[in-house]
Amino acid sequence: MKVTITVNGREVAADVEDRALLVHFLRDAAGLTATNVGCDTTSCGACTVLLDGESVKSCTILAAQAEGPAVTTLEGLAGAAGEMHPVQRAFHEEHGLQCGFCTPGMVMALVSLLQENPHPTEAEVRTGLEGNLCRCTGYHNIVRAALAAADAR
Amino acid sequence: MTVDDAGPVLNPVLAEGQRHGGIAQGAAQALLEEVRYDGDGNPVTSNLADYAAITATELPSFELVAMETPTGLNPLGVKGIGEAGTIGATPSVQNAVIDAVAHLRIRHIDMPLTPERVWTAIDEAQKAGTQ
Repeated sequence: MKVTITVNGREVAADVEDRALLVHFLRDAAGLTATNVGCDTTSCGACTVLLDGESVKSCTILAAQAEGPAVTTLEGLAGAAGEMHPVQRAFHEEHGLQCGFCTPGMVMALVSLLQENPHPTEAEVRTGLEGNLCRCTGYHNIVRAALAAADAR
Repeated sequence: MTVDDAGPVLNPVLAEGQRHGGIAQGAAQALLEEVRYDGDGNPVTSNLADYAAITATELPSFELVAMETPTGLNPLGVKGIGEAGTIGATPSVQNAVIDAVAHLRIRHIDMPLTPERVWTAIDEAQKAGTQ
């Protein structure tokens, strides 16, 4: 079936299988590979993107369901001149990553969290990240990055 | 609070990150994580919905104490760091839980210390205490 999705402000049209997931559309049709496929079972959050600003696990939604809302991936966060989004900058400055596989999903989840709750407590950040797994950092610096990004806003 | 001594550290940020991750995995081994099989040998923890990987919600932030004692066993004086946090974290968490139920005369619960296992141990100890 033909699917047209607005990704990072650009309309992308592609012929995909009916069962194609949004994450595969983003990676294979739109060529945006920051969004990772981790578990394929909605558990790990590596594929988190924004739909109309709200975080969604893109392995849990069909591409066909994403026609309509504006999809934002990690590639769509930086400004026109390449300046990093405050959450991206905080991850860089607080070293909120090690291997980096969970990072795109973590950043997108936190962008959404900080839109809903601009000044979260540490406990609120930790609860907000429950759906995103990280095996390297023990979450310590990710939580620090989230709180630093909130302070910087 | 944890103390690790990896010898001379070139990049404190990376070394601290290694410790954070190790502490989390060590605590996770004590509390949650277990590869299980059914009676026929089929794995029953083969995806991240069934295998309880630890999340940000279950963990606190960590306080690290820096120590750098060179070893004389190699020219650089360095030791390991990657696995160091896991080694101390697991027995620390295990001992903390056992200490919390020691007044019931519980001396041991198998890892991982899932809520079900801890509840069962407390229930059995209380029943034994009233007999």
